[in-house]
Amino acid sequence: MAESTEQPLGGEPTTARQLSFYGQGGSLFGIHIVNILLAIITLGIYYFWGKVRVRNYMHSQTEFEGDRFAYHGTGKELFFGWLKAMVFLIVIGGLSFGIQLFGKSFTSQIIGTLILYVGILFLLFPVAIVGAWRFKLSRTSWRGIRFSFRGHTREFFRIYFPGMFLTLITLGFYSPYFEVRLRKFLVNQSYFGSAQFHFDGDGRDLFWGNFWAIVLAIPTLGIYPFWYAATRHRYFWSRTTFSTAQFRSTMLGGDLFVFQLVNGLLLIFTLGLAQPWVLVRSARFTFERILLEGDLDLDVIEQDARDASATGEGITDFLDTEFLDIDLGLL
Amino acid sequence: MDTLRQNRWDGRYFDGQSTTPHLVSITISKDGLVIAKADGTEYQWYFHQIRQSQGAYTGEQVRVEKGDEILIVDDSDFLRAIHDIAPNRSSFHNPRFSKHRTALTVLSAMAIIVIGLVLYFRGIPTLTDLVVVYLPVRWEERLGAQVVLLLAPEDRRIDDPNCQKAIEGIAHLLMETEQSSPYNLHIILKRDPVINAFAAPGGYIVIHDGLLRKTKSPEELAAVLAHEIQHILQRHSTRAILRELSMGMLFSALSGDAGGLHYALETVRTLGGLRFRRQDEAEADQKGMQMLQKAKIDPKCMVAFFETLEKEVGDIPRFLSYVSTHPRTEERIDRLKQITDQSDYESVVLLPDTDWSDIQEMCVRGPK
Repeated sequence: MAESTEQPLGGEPTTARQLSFYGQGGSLFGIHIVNILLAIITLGIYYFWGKVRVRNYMHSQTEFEGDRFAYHGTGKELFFGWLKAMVFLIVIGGLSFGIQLFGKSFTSQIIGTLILYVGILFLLFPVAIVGAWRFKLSRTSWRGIRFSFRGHTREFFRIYFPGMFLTLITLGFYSPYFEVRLRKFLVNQSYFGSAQFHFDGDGRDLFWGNFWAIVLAIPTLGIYPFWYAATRHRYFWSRTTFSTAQFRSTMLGGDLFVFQLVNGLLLIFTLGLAQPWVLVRSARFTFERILLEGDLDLDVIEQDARDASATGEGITDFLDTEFLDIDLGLL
Repeated sequence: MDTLRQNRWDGRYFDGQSTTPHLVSITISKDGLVIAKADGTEYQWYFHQIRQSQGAYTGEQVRVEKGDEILIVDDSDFLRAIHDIAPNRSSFHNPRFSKHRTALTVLSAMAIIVIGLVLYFRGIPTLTDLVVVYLPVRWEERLGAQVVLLLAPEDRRIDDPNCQKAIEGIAHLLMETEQSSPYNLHIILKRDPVINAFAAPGGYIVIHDGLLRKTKSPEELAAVLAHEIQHILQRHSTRAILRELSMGMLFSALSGDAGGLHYALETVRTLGGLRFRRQDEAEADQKGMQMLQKAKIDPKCMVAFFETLEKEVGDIPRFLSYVSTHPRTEERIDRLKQITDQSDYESVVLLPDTDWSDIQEMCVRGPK
């Protein structure tokens, strides 16, 4: 995996390139413990600075072509992002609560509840998905060149609204179409310096896989969906390119199942203390199974960063919390 | 100083414009770094302009940034050399401190455990005691009304004015011992065969007719009422809500980013919450009994009623006592017996002129 460390840095064409992860659970555990202590002492404020330390560690333990990645986010940025999200939640929550309290009738209870759910699912989530992705990319660099995301949140709404709606009313059967469209939007607008990522797919290719994953989930005690998840992983990456190079995933359903089973057991038997080791295992597991093949001339890539904290985007880079991050496995 | 130490380092320089590496040699001076490219170009980086963004962990490259420009040195001795030549540059990681990292982790873990235990056993009860005083009774009343509406909906209530008068008369005797109480009692009789009664914040007490049937005397009902009144006066439900909130905050701070730990702490929180609930029950038993004595009602009736309860519904198995909201009935009886044995009391007979079974009959039947 790391055999190319001593190679000339231009990289040879036609070899498969990979990300390597060098992080260790013990080191990450130490970071977590100190973070928790400082978070308690500062009444939680340090949480955001601690998160930056974890990300710094994860990025700087990830290597590509002999050089590590770098994270540039700051605790202050994450803190203010969280504040903005809180303001939104308080406004929406207050509105919902107010209507339920003063309306008193059954309809007003329904409307109040709807406002809360619709506000979170159809306003907060899409804004946060794009915002977190934009923020994550713009704060990541390799060899001094920044990643960036150039899509517009407005466009994202046009994909998200109907997609989310159809996925909900079809009980998830529509989701491959939605996922492919989301991924197209998010990947095709992602750049490393001046070089672009590209994804092309069709939800139809995943429809039956997803169909059986839903239908067989319960009869197979939740085991079958792992095979679909692996299939989807391979499909997504086989259709993703970076500049002139092509990605490929070698993930297999059985591997993924065993991997997740071990993760689950580790967490259960250590009451969650093994979390840092699980994170490290996950990074290794994923990076080992994603290859970048074909010609790639890194020398032609130039710095071309876009500022993500641009005020014009308003509240986009807010809410950078984990549960809203959608992980495309790119970084 | 360590003047013999090598002061020429090989590194790679990236100009922040492309990914093309430039091989450079670096010299450390007291004020900064001098970076020389192979073609003879030199860069001066002063320490105050640059920051180290990597190299704090063994095996990592050392990376130094100046804006978008970066410098990478594979040898971690580079950091040691910087500290030797230009001491007190705290923005650079000192590899000599790396060996203290394990000790720091262990110390932090111990500190977290200690702080957690102190907050849990001292902090949370103290905090709830402090805050509960400032919560207005009006707020509790509104909350209680909501709870009662949910748990005893209007169509399941028995509204018999005579029956209500009898029960409220007993409650009134008890409340007279607490003249300064800010609460107005609302007693609701609910049609429900389950032997139960409960209090909601702000003065609400709900009694199931199933329980009323099992009381052998007005004194036994008085015992139940005294227990529930104490829940209200001691603001147990309100405290429980505050506890839940503060435990939630404490534990989310404790688990931080370690999502897995969250589930373990959630269990601790539930069990902890139940432990507090059992303490509340014991307090309501004890203070309820004192209330009975003050109102000159025979406190033995509380023991008698618990004995009926034990016979009717059985006790909680011993192994379940840690996951229960109430103490084991046996324990409660023992504790109450101790109190009644220790104290002298005088008592009057409640409702001497009426037959208790008549009142029960009237209440259970409901209004015609």
